[in-house]
Amino acid sequence: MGRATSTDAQALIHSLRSAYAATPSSLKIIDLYVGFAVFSAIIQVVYMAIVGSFPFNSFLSGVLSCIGTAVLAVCLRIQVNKENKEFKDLPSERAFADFVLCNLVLHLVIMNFLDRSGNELATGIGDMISDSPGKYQVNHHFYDLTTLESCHGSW
Amino acid sequence: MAVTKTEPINSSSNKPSSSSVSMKSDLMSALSLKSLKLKTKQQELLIRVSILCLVYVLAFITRLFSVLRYESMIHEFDPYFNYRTTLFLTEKGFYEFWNWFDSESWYPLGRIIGGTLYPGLMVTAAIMYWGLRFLRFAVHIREVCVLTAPFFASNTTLVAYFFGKEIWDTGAGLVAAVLIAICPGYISRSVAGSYDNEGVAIFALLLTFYLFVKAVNTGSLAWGLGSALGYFYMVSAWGGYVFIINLIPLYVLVLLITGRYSMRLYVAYNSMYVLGMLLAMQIRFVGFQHVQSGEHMAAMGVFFLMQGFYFLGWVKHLLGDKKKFEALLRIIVTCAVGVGAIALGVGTASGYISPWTGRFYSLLDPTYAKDHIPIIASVSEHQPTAWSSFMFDFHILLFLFPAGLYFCFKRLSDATIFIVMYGLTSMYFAGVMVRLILVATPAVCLISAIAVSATIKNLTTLLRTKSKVSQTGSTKGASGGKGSSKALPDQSQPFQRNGAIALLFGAFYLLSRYAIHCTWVTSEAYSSPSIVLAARGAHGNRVIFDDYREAYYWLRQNTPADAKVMSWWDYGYQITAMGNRTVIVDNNTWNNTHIATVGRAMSSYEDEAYEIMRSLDVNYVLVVFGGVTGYSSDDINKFLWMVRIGGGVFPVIKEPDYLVNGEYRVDKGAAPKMLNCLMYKLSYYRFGELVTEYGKPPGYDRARGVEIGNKDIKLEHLEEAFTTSNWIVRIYKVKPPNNRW
Repeated sequence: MGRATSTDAQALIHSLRSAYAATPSSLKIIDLYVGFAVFSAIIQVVYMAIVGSFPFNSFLSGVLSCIGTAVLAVCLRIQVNKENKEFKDLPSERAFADFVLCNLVLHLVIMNFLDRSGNELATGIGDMISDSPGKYQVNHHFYDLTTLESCHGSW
Repeated sequence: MAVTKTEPINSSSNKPSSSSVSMKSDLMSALSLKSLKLKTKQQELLIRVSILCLVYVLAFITRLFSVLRYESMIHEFDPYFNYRTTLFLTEKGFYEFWNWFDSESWYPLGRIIGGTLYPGLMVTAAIMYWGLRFLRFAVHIREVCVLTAPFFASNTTLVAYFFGKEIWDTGAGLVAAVLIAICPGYISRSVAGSYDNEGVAIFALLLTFYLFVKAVNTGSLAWGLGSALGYFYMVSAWGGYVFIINLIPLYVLVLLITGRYSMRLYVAYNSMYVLGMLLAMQIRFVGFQHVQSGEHMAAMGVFFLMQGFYFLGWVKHLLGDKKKFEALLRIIVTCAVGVGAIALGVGTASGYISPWTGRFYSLLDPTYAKDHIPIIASVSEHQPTAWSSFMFDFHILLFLFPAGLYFCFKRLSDATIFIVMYGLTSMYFAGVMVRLILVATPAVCLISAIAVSATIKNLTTLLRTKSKVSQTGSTKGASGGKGSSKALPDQSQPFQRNGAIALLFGAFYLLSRYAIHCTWVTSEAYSSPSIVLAARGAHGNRVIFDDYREAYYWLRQNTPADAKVMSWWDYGYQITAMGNRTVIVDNNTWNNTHIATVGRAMSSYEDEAYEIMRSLDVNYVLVVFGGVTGYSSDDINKFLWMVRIGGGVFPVIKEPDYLVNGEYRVDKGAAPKMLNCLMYKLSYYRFGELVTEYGKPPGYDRARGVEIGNKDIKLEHLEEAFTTSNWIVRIYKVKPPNNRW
């Protein structure tokens, strides 16, 4: 069974490779870009696992920018690929323009999100009537004097 | 006002198939718009645009009842907080607003307002205010705040039109716009003066859904970006965005399972999820919940599922058809699912992924709040909905909704599947909590519009084919299904025609009754400001009670600027906004212990309460009393909730102490603790000498309908500072401790 699976896997990989070699080079460039983005996301996650996740917003913005641009590139690839019947009428310039626009918005938001001081204070404060999804069980230690000081200190 | 709708000439898709038809349309156009000489298509456009303009104006003016009857003021309790923050924003600027720490509420704790509110509403109103000011219209910010909700209701009707057009056709879009313009379920939270998050949030909700459906239909990244921006606006406006972030993944899951997925779905969902999630995290109040909270995990799970699903589909496409691939695929899939489940389990068990919060959990388990969180249970809007509320808020849409579902199932597409899911899930939640009828309203209006539009179209098609006996008109008959004119015997035709005319009249009658009902409901039930009360005098004249504002302005003008006022949390926002004084607890209710402290003070004897008040630096106490006017939302009627909430944190307060045989009484037979607690004393101080109704003894409480038990009340540590003209609001000053022992 094991022998059969490994030969199967080898045959699979072989046929995958030969099928993939047939794709047009423009799509291969996009695939390279996606692979690079996912790879850098993985590096960042590994780094976070080693070093710790503070400040969390920076970690999130780094990882999400990689994942985000990878996903957008995959969407571009889908739209540009000649084999997809649904996107036959879409000119590839339009697809690329959409891709650039979305990436622009993505990175603008990332730049805002990279440095958010004082964010941890706001989490954990529940709000009933104003419809917040915060935690209801109040933790008093969020409001001891030290946090009040840092609250005043940061602005 | 009776709204009779004639179906626009459905000729943009059907070309007139014979000469006499074109002659007839020429005749009609010649008769009706002789001078303009418009083609049929332009006529239709003109009719559509004029209908939309009329609907836009209608949605706005039907919400203006309270402005016309009373004055342009902010209603209720929550909008006063929103008004105060908007005022602060326009005066101090955005940076100060974003970083605002308010020490005037929740004394002595304070509240980080910048990080604990949804800024969408305030920023929207401020932008409109600055825009109008730029154009040199000298408006006051209060006017802008009062009229924000009706303005956005009008915009919602436009979005509903486009959404209906996307799902079905332009006729359904027009009907949807009309229905949602006057639907009481939406009006209840968006009248002029109701300056609350929902007024803007429903617009954002419908916009997000429309843009997402458009993205799924077209597969374009630009529309996906649009829906992400719409989602961002929704997150900034209301906590109900959790509904969107759960409904859309559920919809994607349904499409994946039923096999209706396509590349467009991938593009739409991924662009919306990644961009939307990032944008949502910019709102400080939401913070990292999109990656940490249990309520948002469905979206992430579906995101990963989609990546795997489409990746495997791509691999399969690359390989052609390989049998062995399937076996390996099965192994890979089970491994991936196992890893995902383990990750989720570890995350939840370790507490990293927080469980569903009480407010949303109580939607899944309605009995949860009553047992565990009395504050949620005490809000009347969080109670389960009665049938009468559904009928009141929806009227004929209640039975048009299942009819519309039938039509949607007949013509299933990506868009109709979405609206069916939206309708069903929102109706479930509307059944669990009264205030969520608001979220269900757009879905109900859209689906009912489909039913109305399809039925009326069928009927008018029947009418028009019947009138042309000579040609068979098979193209027209295809849409009806009620018997085309192909092979019918002659004698059934007039019956069919009469039947169609009768049904059309019936439909128009129903729609006109709907319009009458909606206007009546708006006028009678949903246009009261709640801060100004109206009643009928003995001669039928209208009497206005403006006691609340009288009391708040007394506070503003007659107390020192740093005075602290203790009251029940309902009135906190109004006291800070209008009285401009520091309060102990307000409607934000974020700190249950603080509220329980106030509740304990109100339910204790005067000595113990005085200790608590001294520890909180209270200078004035405010109670609301309805015994003279018969006003039934006063503090004595809310008193048991004070006891329950106080008793939830301080076991020294026990609810049975205040009840007699399980019954809540204030007359002679009441429990002794009830007759001597602080709330009772403050409400009924000097009330025993007052005759409220002819023929009844002095001290007759008109709200409870009994004569009070303890008429001889002496206050030791407080003194009466102010009682309004109808005794509705009573303010007491806390005396400083004695100088000598």
